[in-house]
Amino acid sequence: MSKPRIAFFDFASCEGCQLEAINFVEEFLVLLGHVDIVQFREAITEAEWDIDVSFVEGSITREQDIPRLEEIRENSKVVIALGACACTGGVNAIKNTRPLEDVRADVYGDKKDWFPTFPTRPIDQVIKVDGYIYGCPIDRNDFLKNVQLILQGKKTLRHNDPVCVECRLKENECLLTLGKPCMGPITRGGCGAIDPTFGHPCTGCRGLVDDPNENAAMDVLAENGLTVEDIKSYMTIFNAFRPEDIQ
Amino acid sequence: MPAITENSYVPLISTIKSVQDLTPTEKVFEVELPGGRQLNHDPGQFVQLLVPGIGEAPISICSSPTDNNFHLTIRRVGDVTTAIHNMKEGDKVGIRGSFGNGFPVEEMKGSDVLIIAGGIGLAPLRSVIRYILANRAEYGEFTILHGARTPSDRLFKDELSRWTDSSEVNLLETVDHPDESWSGKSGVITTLFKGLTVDPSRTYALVCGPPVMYRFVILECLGRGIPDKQILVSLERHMKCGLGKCGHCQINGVYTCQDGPVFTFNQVKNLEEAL
Amino acid sequence: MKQFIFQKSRMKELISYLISAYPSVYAPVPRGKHFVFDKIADASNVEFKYIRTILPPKKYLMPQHEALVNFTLTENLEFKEELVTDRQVILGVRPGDIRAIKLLDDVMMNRNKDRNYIARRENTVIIGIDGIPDEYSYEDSVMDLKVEEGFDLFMTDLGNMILVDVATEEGMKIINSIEHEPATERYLNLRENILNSQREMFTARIDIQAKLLPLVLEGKWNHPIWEEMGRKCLSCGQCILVCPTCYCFNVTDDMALSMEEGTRTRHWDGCQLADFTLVGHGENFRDNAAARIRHRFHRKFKYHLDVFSEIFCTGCGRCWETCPSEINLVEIANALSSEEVE
Repeated sequence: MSKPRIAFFDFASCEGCQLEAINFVEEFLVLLGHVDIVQFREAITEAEWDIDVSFVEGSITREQDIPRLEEIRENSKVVIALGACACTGGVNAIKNTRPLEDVRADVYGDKKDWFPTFPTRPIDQVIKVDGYIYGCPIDRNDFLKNVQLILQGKKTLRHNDPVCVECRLKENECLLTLGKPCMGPITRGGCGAIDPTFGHPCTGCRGLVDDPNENAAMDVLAENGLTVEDIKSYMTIFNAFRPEDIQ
Repeated sequence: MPAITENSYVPLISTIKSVQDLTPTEKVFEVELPGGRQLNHDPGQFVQLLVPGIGEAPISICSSPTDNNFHLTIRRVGDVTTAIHNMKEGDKVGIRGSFGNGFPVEEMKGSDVLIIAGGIGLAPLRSVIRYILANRAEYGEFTILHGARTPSDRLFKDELSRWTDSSEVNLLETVDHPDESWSGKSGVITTLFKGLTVDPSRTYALVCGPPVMYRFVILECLGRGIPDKQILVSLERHMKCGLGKCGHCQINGVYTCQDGPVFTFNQVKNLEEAL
Repeated sequence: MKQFIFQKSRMKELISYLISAYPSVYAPVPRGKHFVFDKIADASNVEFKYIRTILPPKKYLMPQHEALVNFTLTENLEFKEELVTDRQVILGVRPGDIRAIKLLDDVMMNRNKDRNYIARRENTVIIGIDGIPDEYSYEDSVMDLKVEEGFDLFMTDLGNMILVDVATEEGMKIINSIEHEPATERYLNLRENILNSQREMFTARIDIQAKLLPLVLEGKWNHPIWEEMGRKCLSCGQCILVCPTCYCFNVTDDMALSMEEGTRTRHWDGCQLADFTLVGHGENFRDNAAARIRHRFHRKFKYHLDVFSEIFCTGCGRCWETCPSEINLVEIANALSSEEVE
């Protein structure tokens, strides 16, 4: 049986997730002979189609991204959203909270007409996605585990248990009990609660769980010293995208 | 429960003896335990099926204990069921169980039996149907009401047509969405109750199907005067350990994997979360 | 049961003996403003004057992530149970946690025996110690602070002296490692006085006898308290993860990177998490927080009472302290029972 052929692509992103991924794919999966890498702009130059698994980093912010993403979909058996930008729109979606013209003027000044963009969207708003590897950046252990599952033909991990689960099982002090605003209770887990483990409140980079109780979360954040405005901006750092933004 | 391994979490390595396609999403797997062991299950029980390296899923046994080996009807929905759909004769799987209580086939002897099966609910009920057919003289009137979503979703088509032709059982069928291949009745399963006569005090009604089906079917059974304790439902829950510990399958205070999956309506009407 | 006393100054000696005699000794140590049970290498970090630890000592009998079975997928498919039989001591266990372990024993060591749990449990020495409550504690409402079983040794701090109940031969052997003498009536009376003063210290209380809660719950299935709490609940699962009497779990089959061997692992899981009752084709049988909280309350105060004749809550206050929305079982119990009085 030939080895699964995997590829990496990026759209609007910092490419940090790919950098995180390359170390681990090369170190563990290529060395172990489990996969071949066929497209990896960060790693190799030759381009080949006929891909088993494509990992797509970045959010979709321009009209011309769409045909490229569709081409990736057509040529891949499995497409996985890699990292926050691809999964939820990530920080790029903050721009959706303001009028598009204002954002473009802020960024490009009087040259704004040279750079047409549209509201940011995660890749699953454009193509069918088979799985998600969440986080900004992705968590290396979670990434490896998910790649292994994908190679076994399994679904990627749902991670519908919030960050609190791993945080509590590690016996971290709950930051909320220390009066620090933390998004852990409604944010997808799978990161090993890395931020709270080092004393930093969770900012929701892995996206919100299905059916999050946002009202209760806002009450909790308010009790921990955030104003209504603070809470709004806090909750939109990584979770600004709303499907209605692109309708 | 036969304690087939010493540690409850160690499966018995078993062999797939045959695979049969039923529909595009459902297959039947015949499984043989090692060393000539027999499962000796009760009709209506389930096993935990393990695909090595992938995981476990609870699967009801669709064969009668009077059959050779045992059979599992498996719909492709998750990781485990997708993985076993890619397996073939001779491949190895793990089996834990059988678990649960099953239908009271002994208690039912001498009575009439009315089976109401919706969709994949036919799988666990097939174990009872085959058991009754193998011991036909010990039971009274035997009726099966069977509903499927579409004609192509019907499981065990060959057997269904044998039962249609058989004088030993009265099979009535309907589909929700008929097509040109279907000349039978259409509509939801409760439409099959129209014109059905039962002798309520001597009838056991056995119900299994999608969650939305139960309330409507039970109302029909009650409306025909079948006593609460003779209406038997097989309930689906997330049965994980099979040992009454992990909690996933709990309905109020009872563990479906141990105290169920078969409950009388008498029991179920006192369980707020059951239906 | 025999009672002895020893000088509190000998505690270091006792701990040193335990560390020399057992491969692992676990005791409460500070973590920030909280406490956790952790493996100790000497007596220096041990803090007996703690209220509660973040996780209960249950984690040494049924770890958060526990290998149950190892398997290989090479030519010979093979599954082997993974039993941990290393000797261990859990030192400084509060009465409520001792009772909780007793309840876990009832669950795991009886019907459908759990060999993995039993292996750890039978190799565990439990040394208890008394303590005081805080505003989240309500042990006094659900149990007797004086525990009579479930430990090898139980220590009561009398000031300069420690009174110790010796329940097992192994406990006696441990006490023989330090200088001690039989406890006279005077010390036993002193302990009763201390217990009584501890009982006075509770500020949180369930207003009725907790064993009556099954009766109170009759007819309360649709009580508004469930919706009220459901609106506050974040479904973060912290309450059930910190609970000493919760034992629900998930089991996963995980492959090593070699893809040739793997492990069946048990993970703590629980009924307050949204996916707990989700089945393969997408049906979720307890799909809202109100129903989940109602289930949790019934598990603590009714369902298990029906089977084990015991309340499955020790009043330790962990779930209350850790809940971001400060949901607590005392408030629910009192809301339900206040109507009884009216």
